[in-house]
Amino acid sequence: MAETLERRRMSMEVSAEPAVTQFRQPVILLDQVTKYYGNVQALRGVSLRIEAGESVALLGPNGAGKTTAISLMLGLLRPSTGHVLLNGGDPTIPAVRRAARLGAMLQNARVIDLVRVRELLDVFRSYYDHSLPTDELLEIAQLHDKQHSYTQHLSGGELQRLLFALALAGDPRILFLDEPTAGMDVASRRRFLQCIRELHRDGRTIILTTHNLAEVEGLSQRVIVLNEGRIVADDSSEAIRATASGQFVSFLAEEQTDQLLAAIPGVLRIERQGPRVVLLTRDSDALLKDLQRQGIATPHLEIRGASLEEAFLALTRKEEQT
Amino acid sequence: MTLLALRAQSKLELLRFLRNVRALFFTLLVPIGYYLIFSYGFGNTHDLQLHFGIAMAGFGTLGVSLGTLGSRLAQERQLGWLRLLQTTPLTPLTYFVAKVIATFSMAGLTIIGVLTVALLEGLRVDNYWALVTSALILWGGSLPFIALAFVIGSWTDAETGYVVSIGVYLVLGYLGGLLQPLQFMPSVLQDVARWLPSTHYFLLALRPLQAASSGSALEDVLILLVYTLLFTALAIWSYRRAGTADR
Repeated sequence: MAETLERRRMSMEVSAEPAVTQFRQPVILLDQVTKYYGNVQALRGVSLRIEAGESVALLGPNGAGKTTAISLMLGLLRPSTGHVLLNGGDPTIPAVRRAARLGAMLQNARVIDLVRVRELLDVFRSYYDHSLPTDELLEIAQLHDKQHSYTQHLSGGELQRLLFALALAGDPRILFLDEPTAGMDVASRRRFLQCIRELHRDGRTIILTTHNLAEVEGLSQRVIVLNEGRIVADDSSEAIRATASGQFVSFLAEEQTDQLLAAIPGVLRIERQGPRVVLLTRDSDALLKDLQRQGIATPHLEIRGASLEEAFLALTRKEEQT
Repeated sequence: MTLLALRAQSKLELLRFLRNVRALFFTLLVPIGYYLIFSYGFGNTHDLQLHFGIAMAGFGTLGVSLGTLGSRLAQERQLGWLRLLQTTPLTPLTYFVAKVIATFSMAGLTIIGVLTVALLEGLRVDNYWALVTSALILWGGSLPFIALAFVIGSWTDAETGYVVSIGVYLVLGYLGGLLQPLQFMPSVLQDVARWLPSTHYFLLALRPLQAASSGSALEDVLILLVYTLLFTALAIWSYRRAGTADR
């Protein structure tokens, strides 16, 4: 696959040149977007701008509004208020979507049965004016061995890779991936992420959602963190990772010491679990020194790294309060 | 490009139809099986054979559209497949037309299958062109049932879609006089039958063979036309609604 993408990249560099001199319009623009499902508010005023060639991850826990945001960008949903623009046009208009040349992998999408892998790829290719060759799609998705299999006989990971190949059938300029690695094993996940990096290097815009910050490493330059329908952070992936490298320090302590502990500057959050107290901090060594200095005993001490997103969300919450 | 997509999409739908065991069951096994049971069970008179042949070819087209298409549509919607297609340049019209083409092809298969078996089993008609005309009427007249399958497909999920489709299929088949001659039914049911599309579908197909018992061709055509327009409008409205609904 490396050679085929290499060839493609070279041909693209030539054609991409005049576009640089033109006025740069964002590929995606969300302006004060809200989205209600009945009484439930999935997005609460989201504004963002994604330029051509960016690789962006929408990160957040389940229910944060990631899929809603992607669906709005794809024109599958209309915003309740605010504006969504795709290359300056309304994405709910088919001609706008077609001109943008997008490909999408939707969350929890499944595949129709009674069709062979290769047949389905060929049918999808017939939808587009420009399409990638079937053999290249099979190679990218590592489905060469399965090209004559019926879709109903594929494993979960194979189906996911087939959906990825279908998203690439039209040689898209903008690739939307909603939780793309769900159900993949470690090896195919690694290969898949490598593949996305190569697609991005070709100059494609990549927009993916995930609830796993580790996945974003080395993949997306920019991470937008969503929580409860709001953007809580929008930064480079390095900055987000640095913010999110929190640790939980827990030990047995009387409830009376809680106030004292909360006053220590390095403590970002304090939580009680029965007889144990759990402190969230960015630097556990410094915190332990502080505790020692104040003469607070730490029996049954436990230190564990916070999962990145739980730490991150806790950190942003703390910062909002101060 | 759209024509290429339509060709590829129609071929895909037809292939999937032919690979679907349940579809083949409703397309060939049920109508041909019934034809053989009826013609051996109730005597091999010319009139009955003709009646059963047309009735079972008609019942087969009902099975193709209602027995299979409706629940398959519901299933594809439930899979999220229609949403995925919405992100591609394939237009909804191309998708639906391809479904109709595939269903029409299967309806042709069931009509040819049943009538061929009937002819092999000794069905004789005075004018074979009349039989061809009847076959064409059966073919074209399946349109309202295809439209009805689209309506059912948009309002149900895979499981309920199947139950509703089979229910409608059997009710329309029975009350339309396809499974039992209308004159043997209680008069209440005969009154209902007078307004059903399947009744007039069957009667219209019998007319070229001079075998229709009542009514006029004009009445049949008008009623079928009204049902076709009604179901088509309902189907378009249903999919518009499903397409813009907040999920």
